[in-house]
Amino acid sequence: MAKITRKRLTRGARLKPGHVSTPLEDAALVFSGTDVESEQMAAPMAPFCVNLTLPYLGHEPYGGAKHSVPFTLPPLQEFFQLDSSGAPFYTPDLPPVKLKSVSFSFDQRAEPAAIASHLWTFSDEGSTGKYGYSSEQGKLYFEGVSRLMVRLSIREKSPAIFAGTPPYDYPYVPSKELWSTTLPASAFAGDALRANPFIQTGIDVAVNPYSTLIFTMECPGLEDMGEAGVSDNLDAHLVLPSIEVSIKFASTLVTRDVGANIQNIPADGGSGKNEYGTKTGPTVTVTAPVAASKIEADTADGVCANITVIDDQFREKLEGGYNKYADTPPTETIKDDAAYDVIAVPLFQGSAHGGIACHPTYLSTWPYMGSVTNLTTPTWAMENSSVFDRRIVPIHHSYTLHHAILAWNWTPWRVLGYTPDTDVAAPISESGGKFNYNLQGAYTIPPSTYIHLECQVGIGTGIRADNFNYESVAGLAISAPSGTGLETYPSGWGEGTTLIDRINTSSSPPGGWMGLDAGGTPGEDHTAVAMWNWELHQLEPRANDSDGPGYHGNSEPIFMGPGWSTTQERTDIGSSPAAPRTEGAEQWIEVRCAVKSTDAAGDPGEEYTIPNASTFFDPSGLLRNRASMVVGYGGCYVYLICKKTLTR
Amino acid sequence: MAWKPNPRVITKEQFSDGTTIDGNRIDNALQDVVDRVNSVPQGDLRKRWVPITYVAGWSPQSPKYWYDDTALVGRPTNSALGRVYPMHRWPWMHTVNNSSQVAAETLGSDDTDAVRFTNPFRLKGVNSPCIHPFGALELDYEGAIPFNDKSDVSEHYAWTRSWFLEKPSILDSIDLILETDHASATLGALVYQNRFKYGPVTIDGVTPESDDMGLVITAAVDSEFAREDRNLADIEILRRHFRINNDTISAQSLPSNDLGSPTYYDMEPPARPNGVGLTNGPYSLFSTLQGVCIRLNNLNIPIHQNARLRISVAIPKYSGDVATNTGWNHEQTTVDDGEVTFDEPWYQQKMHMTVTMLEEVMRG
Repeated sequence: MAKITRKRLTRGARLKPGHVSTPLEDAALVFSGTDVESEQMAAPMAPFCVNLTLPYLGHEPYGGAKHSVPFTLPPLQEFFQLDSSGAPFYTPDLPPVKLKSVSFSFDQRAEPAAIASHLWTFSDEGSTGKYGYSSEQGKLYFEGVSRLMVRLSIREKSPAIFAGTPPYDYPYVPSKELWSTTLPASAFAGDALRANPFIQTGIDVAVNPYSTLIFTMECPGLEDMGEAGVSDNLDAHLVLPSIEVSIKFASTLVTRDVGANIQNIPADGGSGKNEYGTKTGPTVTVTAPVAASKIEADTADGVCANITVIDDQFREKLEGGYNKYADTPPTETIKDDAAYDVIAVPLFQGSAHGGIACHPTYLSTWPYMGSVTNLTTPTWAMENSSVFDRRIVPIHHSYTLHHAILAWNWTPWRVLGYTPDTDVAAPISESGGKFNYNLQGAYTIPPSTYIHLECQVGIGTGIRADNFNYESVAGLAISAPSGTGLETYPSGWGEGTTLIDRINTSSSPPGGWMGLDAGGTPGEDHTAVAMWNWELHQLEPRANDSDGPGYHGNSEPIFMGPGWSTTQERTDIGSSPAAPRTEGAEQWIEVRCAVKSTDAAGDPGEEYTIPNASTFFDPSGLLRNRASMVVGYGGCYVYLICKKTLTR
Repeated sequence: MAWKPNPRVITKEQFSDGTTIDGNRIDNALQDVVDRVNSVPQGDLRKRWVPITYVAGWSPQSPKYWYDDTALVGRPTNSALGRVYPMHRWPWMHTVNNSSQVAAETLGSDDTDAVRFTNPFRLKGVNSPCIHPFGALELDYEGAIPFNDKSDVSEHYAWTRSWFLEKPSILDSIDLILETDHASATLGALVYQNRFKYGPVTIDGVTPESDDMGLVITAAVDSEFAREDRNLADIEILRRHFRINNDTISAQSLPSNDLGSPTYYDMEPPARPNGVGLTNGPYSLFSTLQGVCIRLNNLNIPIHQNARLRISVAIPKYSGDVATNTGWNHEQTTVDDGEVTFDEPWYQQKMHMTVTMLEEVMRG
């Protein structure tokens, strides 16, 4: 309790030294004890944003032009508590989280127009192919702006992990809508003013930090449904390019992480050596007059001098937080100088077809996967390579990583917008002929135990620097995205080890298989089931301790911040503690993710490239023939749940 | 009387010898102290900002996929036959709006259509050598009548990210990384090969084979009074006419992977562009981080409340002889009309962009 009080000087009361000096001494104690708490601040909360991005949204997803992204805002480790049943336990000091505003934008080329899709086939004059790369791609379509009605929403559900241990007999669909709005097409059609970027402020909805939140955007008008009864293959499909979503929340300021148990934290700083971020208060001395002495103004124990001692603290400004070099001030007065933060890192976006599908014709469009040498009679030269992506996130401020969460996407989509018809050959004309539907789509979670996912978060140094090195800070490795097929319930990878939640936001969720015989052949009870189109998994921060608070155990928080000579020396990191290889000079956060296929022994080989991975549904069958996807439409995210500090 | 410090911030009451020290004044002063300590204004915090990070990026379609196929290039034609070729270039779009940039056979695609383009040039100040979005200025044989045939002489394509910022903010940094593969990569791992250099033919007095200067980064805030008029936008950042290669990620000669020389510690999964060092599991064929990193840091640019901030990156798409290079443009043979074309600058590097804004602590 850092707030101070005082005795009021009522009329007629005898003025005693304590009337003056006691509240001033209390104030001095607040400062010298580095005890300015958030409740003492006129602005006790700090904003953080979940910033989502998408190179484009088209009409290809099953169920129409709609894209959802789930995320969760778990409490920082010191507030994260589960009860004995594994359900969330809400401590009284759990900082509240409030949804404040939502900003949404896309690129209209600065005109009141819609943007033509790469699958646009409307114009006879343009050079347009049914299967993409229309010459009209990215061009303005003024008449089409009337189709740009956009609906945005944020929904909520309780994570599966809180329902107990697997199997999760749990609904996958969101149960509650926190916020939604509909932007009419006219909002994007004005000559003089368009709501692009759009923002809604003042939402002020309290958010349960243990919930899964799902942001959804949908724009049904992106798909040209054509004229009723007319099959002319002239479709004016649209896209929303360069979508940016910024969902702003606010949470109460909290104390920053200090101590030698924090991995990679600077040992030294402005406050001295081996302080590990621990704060040192300033010397603030209020000299109380002795009892029965006169109350004076200008003496050392006078009113003016003592008030000036407190005034000096405000005049010099209250100190706290880190500077840009992960350094602390020599003395600090603010106790709560840190805040919740989310860094949302997109992966596997911008692929040629919106997502990544298993068939070699599609898969070879992803870098390093191979090439197609002849599409008339397709011949693929596939590399023995994983489907890989990484993102580089330069950092300029200090963070401690508390949780890392992977949102994996299985949203099915119509590759190339293809729907069977009798007029035009299908993109894949291999073996089954032009209407072998199993070859064309991406709507099945890979029914193979040979598929593996590895995702890691690291920090790196070396941009225009002497030392080039990485240090891992979190990761996961899981296998068999659709289970083994032997389960009697829908199953997937990471169940019981990394899984937090499964979410379905699609009206046409991806397919999976269960109830096979032990031999891997369909048993009597085998069933095709509707699965979920998103999964949340916990990446375990690199451990110096595995029993930290988290969904599946956790390690101590890990400090990430670019240092200088004073803050170069860091605490050890890892389960076999060692000095961080970035040597206190981390410049960026890097997230890497790879999906690969190996045989049961973990060996690579041509026969185990992703398209040729055996399926458990039919051991002689290959994944390429099962309309499987590697990554769903729109790509994935890794959320770094961090504690950031005040800065300037 | 010697000078002595007096309260300047916390209270208006001043106490000094010769003035009264009565209860009312002391009461007022102490109440000011208690109020200030119990409700510290954010202006009293030396550090009162927190970073907000906007991350974006993607790996574009592999240009190797279609570049190797010399027999069947000609994208829309083959697409119509049901063949899969380069698919899209999102989010890159032309920086100029005119009738040629309207979808064919729709309103505005003909010069005579009654469409007035609000922003014929949607990015203010974006230009670079060898690019003339106004088209070619040519003279007839008598040298008397200049005309503009409206055909571009090279062009810029832009990726624009925009946000509505409700609160006053500080634009702190923009980091743009254009990642390429290591030149020594093998095993199909040499996919993104932008060398950020001009080719053998240049115009505008640019030295052939010199470092390219076609990349532009700009941040602009819409005008408060004409929000859709980009001519009136406030340019906060405009970086242009710079040699991209001067921003290379590292001046060191880094190896293609951590096993090369000099060695370094890598994270998982490690870079294995040459497929070495792994006996267990398929390789990840990417390279050690290569390319350029344009760092616009410590910007300290205040952005007013209710601002519409647009950050754009424009890349060059050279045409004509200037396009003859192996940097932004990749050579391919168009069988359909027998011409050699150079195309697809958006496929020559992976993109990573991080924008860091600072926002103030808030009341909640």
